[in-house]
Amino acid sequence: MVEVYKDVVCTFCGCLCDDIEIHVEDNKIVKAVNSCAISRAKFLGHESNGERQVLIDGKEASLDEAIKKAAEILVNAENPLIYGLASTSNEAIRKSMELAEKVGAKIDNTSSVCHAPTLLATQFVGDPKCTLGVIKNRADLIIFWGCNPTQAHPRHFERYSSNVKGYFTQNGREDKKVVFIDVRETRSTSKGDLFLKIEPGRDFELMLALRALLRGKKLQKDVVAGVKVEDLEKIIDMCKNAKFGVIFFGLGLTMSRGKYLNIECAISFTRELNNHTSFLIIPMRGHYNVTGANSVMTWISGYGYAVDYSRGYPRYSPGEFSAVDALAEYCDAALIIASDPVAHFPKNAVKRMGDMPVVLIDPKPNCTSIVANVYIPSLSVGIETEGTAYRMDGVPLYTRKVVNGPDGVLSDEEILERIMEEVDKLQR
Amino acid sequence: MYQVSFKLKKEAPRLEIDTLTPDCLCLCSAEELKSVKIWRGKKEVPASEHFEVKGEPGPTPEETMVVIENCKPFVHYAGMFMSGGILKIKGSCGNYIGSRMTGGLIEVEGNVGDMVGEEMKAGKIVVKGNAGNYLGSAWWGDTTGMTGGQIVVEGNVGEMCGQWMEGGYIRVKGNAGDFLGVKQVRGIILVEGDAGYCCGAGMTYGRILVLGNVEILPTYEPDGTYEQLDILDEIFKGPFQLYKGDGAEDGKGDLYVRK
Amino acid sequence: MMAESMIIKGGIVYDPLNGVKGEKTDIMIKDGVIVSEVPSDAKEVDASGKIVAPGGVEMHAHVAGPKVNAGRTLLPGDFRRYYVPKTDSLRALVGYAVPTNYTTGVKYTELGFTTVFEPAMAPLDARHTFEELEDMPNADKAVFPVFGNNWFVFDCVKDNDIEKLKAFIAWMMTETKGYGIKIVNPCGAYMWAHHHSNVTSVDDVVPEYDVTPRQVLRGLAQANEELGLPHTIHVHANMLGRVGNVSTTLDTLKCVEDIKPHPSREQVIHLTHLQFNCFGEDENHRICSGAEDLAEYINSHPQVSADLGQVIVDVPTCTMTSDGPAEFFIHKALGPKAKWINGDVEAECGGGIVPITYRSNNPFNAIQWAIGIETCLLVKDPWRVVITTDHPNGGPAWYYPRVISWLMSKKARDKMIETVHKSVQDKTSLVNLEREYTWEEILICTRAGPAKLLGLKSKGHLGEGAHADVAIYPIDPEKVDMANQPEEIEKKLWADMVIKDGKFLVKNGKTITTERGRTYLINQYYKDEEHKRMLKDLKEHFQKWYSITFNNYRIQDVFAPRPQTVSINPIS
Ligand code: SF4
Ligand SMILES: [Zn+2]
Repeated sequence: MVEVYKDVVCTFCGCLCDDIEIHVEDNKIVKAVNSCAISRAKFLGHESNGERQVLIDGKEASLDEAIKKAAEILVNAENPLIYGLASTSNEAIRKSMELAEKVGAKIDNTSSVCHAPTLLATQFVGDPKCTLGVIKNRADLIIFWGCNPTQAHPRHFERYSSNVKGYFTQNGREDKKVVFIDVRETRSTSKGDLFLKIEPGRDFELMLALRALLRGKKLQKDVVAGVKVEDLEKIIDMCKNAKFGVIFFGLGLTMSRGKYLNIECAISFTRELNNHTSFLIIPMRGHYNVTGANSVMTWISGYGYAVDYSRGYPRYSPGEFSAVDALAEYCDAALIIASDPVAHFPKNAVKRMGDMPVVLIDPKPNCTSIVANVYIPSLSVGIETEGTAYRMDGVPLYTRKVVNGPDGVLSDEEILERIMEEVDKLQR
Repeated sequence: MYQVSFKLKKEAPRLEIDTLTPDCLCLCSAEELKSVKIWRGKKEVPASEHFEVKGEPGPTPEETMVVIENCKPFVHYAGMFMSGGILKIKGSCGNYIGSRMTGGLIEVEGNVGDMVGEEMKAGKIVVKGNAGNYLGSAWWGDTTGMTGGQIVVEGNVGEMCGQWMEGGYIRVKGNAGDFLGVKQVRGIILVEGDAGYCCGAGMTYGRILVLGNVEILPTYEPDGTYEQLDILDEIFKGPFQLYKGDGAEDGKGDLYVRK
Repeated sequence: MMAESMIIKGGIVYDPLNGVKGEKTDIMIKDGVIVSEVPSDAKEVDASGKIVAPGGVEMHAHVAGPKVNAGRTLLPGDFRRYYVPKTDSLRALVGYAVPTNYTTGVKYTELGFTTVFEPAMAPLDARHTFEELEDMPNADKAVFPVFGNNWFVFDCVKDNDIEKLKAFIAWMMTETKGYGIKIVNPCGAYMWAHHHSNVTSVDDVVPEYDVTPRQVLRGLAQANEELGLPHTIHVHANMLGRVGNVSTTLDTLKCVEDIKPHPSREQVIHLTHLQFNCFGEDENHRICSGAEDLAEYINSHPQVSADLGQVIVDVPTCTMTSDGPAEFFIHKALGPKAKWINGDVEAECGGGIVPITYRSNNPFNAIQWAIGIETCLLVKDPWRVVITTDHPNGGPAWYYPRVISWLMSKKARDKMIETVHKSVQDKTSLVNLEREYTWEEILICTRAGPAKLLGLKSKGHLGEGAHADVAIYPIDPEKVDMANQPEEIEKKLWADMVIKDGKFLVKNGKTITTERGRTYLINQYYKDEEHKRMLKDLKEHFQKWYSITFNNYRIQDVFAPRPQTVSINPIS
């Protein structure tokens, strides 16, 4: 018998599309309607019936043993780190924070290697933003800066931005101007009305130049960051004449030279444009719940990432308590939740991970399992278990359960709860 | 002047020694001195576990000199909130040295990490080696950096030196990294070597002097030229070209570059 | 753990709702409620020489949701400065102006408050708001979803279809677990998001919908009274923060003058954080106080209630409202260093956040400071004016003891007037006001009054059947002359003991444990046929203008794990 689940939330990218229709037969997903290619591959490729084995030092073990061992590792370490979180539910993130406080750990989420600069910039200057539905209804100028939605957020155009029809944009794409700014041509850039190719690593300068032009200043050069000043003036005109503009930016801006200064400058540009017309700015976040990870950490500790509880209260220091730095320099144990640092982190961090006790909680084994002393499989959020996640614009959605996970496998949240119980016993 | 010395004898992945300042140690008895606590990860341990402790502190911070010997980069937070006296660091050390200090002198023989002199109000920091990023800068999300005092770095500094700086004097004898004096509001930064990308970006007031090479942002306008400049009673021979900016912020900052 | 029986002995009890005015009586508690008799083994609590009062009721404090969290994001320095490490029984306490939810819960309890309402929730963000509320311990809570710029409301109002509007309101309350109707700058947030402008009077027209703030206010007020929601419409009026806005505010109140209140009450409108909407304009077009005009109106119109939104000077805090254009205006006024967050929400509302420090030496801010207490002193009926700081907009709620000292002691006010800008002396009437609030009046303004205005039957009093929420303050009103010792008020309005639902949360001024509070919510659709008619249009509306599907809008029951359903009483 085929069961049909309507309006399922897709938990693969920051778009968090909530109109997916999932068909399930014999506890296996057989069809995904409305999905993009990424989403379809993930939903259909999901294996729920397979066995998920708890491992301690590579050997099969029971869940109870693994949980005990994980608790011991965290309690005994002097500089434990909890990392990951952007691909799990808010409920699990809340538990992780509680655990971090209990064991005096550093806690960081994957934004520290993607959109943390966005958060830092917001801390310095603020952030004029809106929900994606406002863009859909209103925006007549859309600028994509350093991002490639065609590949990373495939349904962004059709659901929220350039191609969707809205209240003030009833003709869809025809009512809008679309601009791409990037260091190279991508599959997205050809879809715009205008593409500005800029010299790599010079986004900041370009943005400064735009801000100066907006203030009516003369620039001292004819070409800035590889772009002719005339073209910049054209952009400024487009911005000023738009009824409602928006800048979407991605890793091309957050992770290139200048990092949070780029974002700070983009935000300042956006707010200065508000002296002329409506203009807002939204980050294109990758992991489906990276927004949630930043938010939850903020309401529990005051800070969105790179937090340390070693003194019993939260302290914040990017570059010091952020996972890459902590792992490379001084951490002596790590609990990784729904993430794969071994695949993505610099060599020195990965090397040190090989020498310290590591606990991995993830629905599937990954590269980090190779160094993990304890591996606890968990249920996949949005497929095998429910939970809250925030879309890239902060809209909270409740993800669904469409198939049953394997017997005896718990959710991240439940596993963390159990680890905390063990920690309490050890610390009593 | 009374002197207390802490000689590192046992290493650890990370130590935080914000308690080893003249302010915290003055008036300590010999016994108390041994049990002064520092943080090693999540454990608070006696400093004597990691340092050989010698000497006797004075009755006030001003009369006390603290010496950290054999210091290493994993030792952080030295001289935080310091208000007077002297802190001498032999060797290199980590982050947040002299953070939010209000007086006294910190001398480091080797290199220092990030956020040195962050939001400091007064006093002096001298670094013989190189310094990391965010020297004399504002803390995350704060928009007021260093407001007074002096920082002298004899080597190079990293990126974003003097970010949101609102007063005081930073002197770098080597080169400065990218984004020197970004968002600077007041105060003086002098770089004797070269400065990196986007020097003075977003600056509104204040002064930056670069004696070596620097690429001028397109948002800066050339102004007058000067034969020599007088900075805190020291004469620097020019000729200097003055640029005004940053135009992106409607800024009226002065960027002097030696021709 | 079962709450034990106890008897609070020898305290000086204030229970204004039941007419108890500082009498020495005993309060008895069993099974979490106030009773008239307890078993002989009931635990005795000695409260002699102390004030015993119902737990405080905060009717308007921004404590949870995306806006509050964005405020935290803008103030990391606030968390670096204020911290208390975790203990065996408490988690770490961090932050001051916009602290973590955990800290907020603990601080409110220590102030003696046991009920806290979050007054502005973007319905689309409901889940986030409830997640944060769940992390705020102790207090019972509820939220007001915002309605004043909702497109569907505009549609109903335009067609003058009050039945459909009623069905929509009941639906919205049910789907987002709301409690009351919040209206923020009606039509203004819409104009900001879609026309980059604002409305300047109650009769400005929204072009696409051809509706005015007046119509929206009247429509929602009428629908609200006919539906019989527990609270009136809760209104943040147009033109907030603008010089001369008191005239708009009076227009706003006049809009609903002829609306008939629900039989359960006399009020039809609650004007929130009145201070921000009570600016007069002098002959040089500069700010002066509008308190006398506003207070006169309130005194002569029983259908109006209000809360202060008192400003606290020289304390870094953060403004956060669903009023996009007002926040843009504030950030422009504060200069280039001001941080600004804007947050428009599709088809519903907007919002903005700007950190601020009101300065005592700034003439504008000083007058703002005066307006709050001035109005409070001029309004005669304490049942209709509630003490708030619009936390954290005017300042952190942790300054309530100081606000109360200004109200109870002319000496305290005069001392303050000396330190703030002298504009207060000629642009407000504060210096001339002699009134000093009594304890009874203060306890009306902080618990009995708000509980009554919010329609909370078991809160704000100590009568039989009320929730056993009791705050005990270490003050003996007979021994201490408050008017002459205002410093005592400030110190001692942090509770000595706090009991919630019959359990001790605070002892000797220190929190000993935390509990999870209940959530008041409405869970009831309007008449079936109207509901269905409305739903048909609403589904189409969703399909067209929202970026999420209709089915994902309703928030799940897990978001309010301890619900306390309040029924509505429609009049037919
Ligand atoms: S765009 Fe992203 S959220 Fe939407 S279906 Fe594709 S992967 Fe899923
Ligand atoms: Zn408010």
